[in-house]
Amino acid sequence: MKHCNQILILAALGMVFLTSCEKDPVGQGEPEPITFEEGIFISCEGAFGQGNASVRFIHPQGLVNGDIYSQVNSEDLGDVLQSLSFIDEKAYLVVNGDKKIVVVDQSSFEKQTEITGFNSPRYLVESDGLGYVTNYYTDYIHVVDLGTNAIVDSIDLGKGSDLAMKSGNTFWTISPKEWMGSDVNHIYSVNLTDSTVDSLEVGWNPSTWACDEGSDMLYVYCQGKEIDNGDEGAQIVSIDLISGEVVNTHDLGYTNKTSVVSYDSFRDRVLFSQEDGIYSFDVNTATVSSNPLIPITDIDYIYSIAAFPASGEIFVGDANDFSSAGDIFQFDTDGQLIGQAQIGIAPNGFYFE
Amino acid sequence: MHFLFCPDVNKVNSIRHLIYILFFSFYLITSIDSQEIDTAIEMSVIEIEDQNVLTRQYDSVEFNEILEFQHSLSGVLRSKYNVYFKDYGPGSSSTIALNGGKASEVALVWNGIRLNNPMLGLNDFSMIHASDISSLKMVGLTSNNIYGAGSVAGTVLIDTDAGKGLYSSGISSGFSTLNQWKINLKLGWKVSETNHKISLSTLQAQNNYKYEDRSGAVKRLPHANHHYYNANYDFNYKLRGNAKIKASIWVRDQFRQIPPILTSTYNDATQGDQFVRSMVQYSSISTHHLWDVRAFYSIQNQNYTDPAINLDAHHQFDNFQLRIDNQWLLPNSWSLRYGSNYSYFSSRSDNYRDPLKESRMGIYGQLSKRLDKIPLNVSFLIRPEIIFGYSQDLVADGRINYELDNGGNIAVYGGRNVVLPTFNDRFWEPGGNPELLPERNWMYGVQYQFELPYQLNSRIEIFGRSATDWIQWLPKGGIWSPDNYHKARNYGAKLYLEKNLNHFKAQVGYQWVRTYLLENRNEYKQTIYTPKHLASANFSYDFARFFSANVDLEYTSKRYTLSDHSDYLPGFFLIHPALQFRSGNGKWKVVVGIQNVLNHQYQGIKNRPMPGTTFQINTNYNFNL
Repeated sequence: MKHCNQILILAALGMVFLTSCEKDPVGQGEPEPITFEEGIFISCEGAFGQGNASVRFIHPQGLVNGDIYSQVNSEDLGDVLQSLSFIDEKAYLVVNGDKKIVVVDQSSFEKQTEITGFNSPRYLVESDGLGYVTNYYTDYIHVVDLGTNAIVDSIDLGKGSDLAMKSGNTFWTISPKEWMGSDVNHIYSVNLTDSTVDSLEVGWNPSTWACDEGSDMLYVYCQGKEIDNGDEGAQIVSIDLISGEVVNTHDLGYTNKTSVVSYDSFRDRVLFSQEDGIYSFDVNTATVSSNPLIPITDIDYIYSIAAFPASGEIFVGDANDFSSAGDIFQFDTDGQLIGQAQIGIAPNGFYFE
Repeated sequence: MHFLFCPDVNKVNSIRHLIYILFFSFYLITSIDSQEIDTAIEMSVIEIEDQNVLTRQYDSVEFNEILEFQHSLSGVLRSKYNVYFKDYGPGSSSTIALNGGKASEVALVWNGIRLNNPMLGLNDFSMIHASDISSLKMVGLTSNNIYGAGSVAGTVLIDTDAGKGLYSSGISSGFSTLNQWKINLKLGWKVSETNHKISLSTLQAQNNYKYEDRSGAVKRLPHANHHYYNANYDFNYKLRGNAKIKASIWVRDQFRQIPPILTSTYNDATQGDQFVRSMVQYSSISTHHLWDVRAFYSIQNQNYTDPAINLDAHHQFDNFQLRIDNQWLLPNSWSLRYGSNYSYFSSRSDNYRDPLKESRMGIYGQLSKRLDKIPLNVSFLIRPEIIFGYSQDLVADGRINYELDNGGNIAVYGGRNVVLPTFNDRFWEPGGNPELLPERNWMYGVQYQFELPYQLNSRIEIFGRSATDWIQWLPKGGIWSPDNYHKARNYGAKLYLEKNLNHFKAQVGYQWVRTYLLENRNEYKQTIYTPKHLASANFSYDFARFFSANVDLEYTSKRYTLSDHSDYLPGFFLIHPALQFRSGNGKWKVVVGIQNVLNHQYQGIKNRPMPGTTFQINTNYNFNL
């Protein structure tokens, strides 16, 4: 199965985009160059320290071969691509290892500029023409004027910041667990009007989350403490983003295990990975599937999950050994494998545009 | 049934089998020859050619001003011994890879003391410069196991010594277009029966050399300053009889900026290293014994800072060693080398939860026999390695050396060695794995030395290795953690040719090596940063009485940077010519050289550019000649 041919995934991807494709006229000369307006972007962070991060793209007609950034711009993107953000026909490529954000035109993927001056940038969220950039190793969230591409302000969070999202006028972020004993049991919010910082108690060591934008619900995966003495194990904590309150806490029955998660709006469930596969958390019944929806068989290391909103098909990024090409797998909504393809090193995110 | 998979039982059984095989083989071979030997043979006096108890099977690398001129020891070894280094650039770290192995598989020995870095398990050769040492020797695969765990792929011996009698005092300085200059002062003196030597050196470098980026644009490397201060003091005192006391102190303070990789806009990281190493040695030579007793203490600090991520990490380790070695010449051409070394480490690091302490001990015995009927030497080594409270294992080997009528010889060897997990492997926070097993290796090989027509000295070696429990760091449960994942194979061949005439010397070396993992998704694929082909050549010619010319050539083949071979660095070929002038009385010498005269653009590590053409000038004035 490892060598399952790419035809399957291309065919499946064609199905995914069937509703959005228009039939090309036949026999009208040169094919038009591919644009990157519509499709799936995959961020591949690359091997740490080697500057070989890449962006891969699944066009409605199939997977584009190779790194679209280096092909378009004739230069390497950089070291450790952490995330992508798409704002006003531009893509912002957050390159953590090089401490920079590369701005490209989304359609052509031509580089427009670089924004520098960050410490350890992770994620960029836009609000009213400003970009809020989390930094893993410093206490500050940098504020970038997306018109001038310059850092214009910073917000003192008091600790490092990682994942970020915006709901209404509130910026939410997770602070990473500190090494050697310092545990965290809050996520943090910033009022974007006055930059005041607040926090919300969740489970121990929140590490990732998934958002149901349609219902304004945020599902925070807390990995738990190293040793669970009762109520310190892993949890999925449900937060109502309108009220900013925890509405449900679900104990997972284990502790100190990280995960990658995604919200599947097609089936109203949170997908989260564990050592033996990908499980589902039904948000309506607040129950976890007893068996993995997708058992790990040929996947070495699940590094990213995403559910395609329109069809519920599940994409999984396999980082393998982090020093060789990764793989992506596509499953149907019941967890049956549809296709597989080789991809860049350490695929860490899928972005549906 | 499950106990079949218990590693301890397997380990004990394999070690027991090995011991049986070694002793049985040794008994068979020696009994063939010893049946008719007269037991009343008069013992000969040991001839001490070199006060190195452990081995005489090594290649000496000849030093001269041209070699010293290369500044770093890695440059010398690359030119003269065909050694590959993972090189991050001038002033940056440089780790050795011998015979297709890993940096942690090469032992570095200073004045008979193994320099261990228990935290990393490897040595940074950029912190040793040619002008700081008196001699350099390479111990090959035929006899390096006596240096114990971690000497699987080879051993590098460096010595500092006050020498015999009045030491030559002198001053040397050099400059290169890397904006790099160095100065070295050596003072030697003799008081009664004591000899003293002090060597002081410093190097200041900007290393802001030009390179071409991917688009072909020429840029200068930023943030690459490097400097060091180095001092060596050596002392020896000849006691009555054939006894000697020797003492050495080596102090170094080194600072380097870490340049950004090609894709990065800047890097503010810096690294400072300081160490003090000291040793005292008592040697005694009698009719049948060559005793060495050595004590060693070192303290080493490293401070890595990166203001961009608020990182200010401190690491420190201390090491005390005591070792005793004896070479005992027995009747009937038997000889026994035996001894023991004890090491105590303590380490403090911002990446460890608690200070670490560990004691290690190795006890060895190597029995050798020179047969009388046939020109054959056989030897067997057994060396238990004990880490108190952690593990015990065995290093062992056997060697048969047959001397040919034409002056050549054939050596066949095989053995076992281990590579111990480092403190970082076991205790790094987060992710360290205290349960790691040592990497285990079985090695074998054949070496054939002979003389070709026209007095061309030659050596061919074929070697192989089978390894289990190779350690690799991989993400596990969301954090990176090491484990004993892999089996590996390593084999290769080496060829060496040397020609010496009155005014002309030539050395040519070639190495082909394969190293790959088994039972892995990238099975049989060459491991990353392991070139299959290495070649080097060195030619020197003395002419017109005051001049000599030297040229080094080196070729390094393609190196894969990713384990699935989806990316690689292309091979490169470099030529380094140099011209030396010496005054009539020999006191003053000047060397002018060009490194990488073809201006080849290449990288030692992915996205770490190496310098193009670099001009260098070096001068030396010797006070005592």
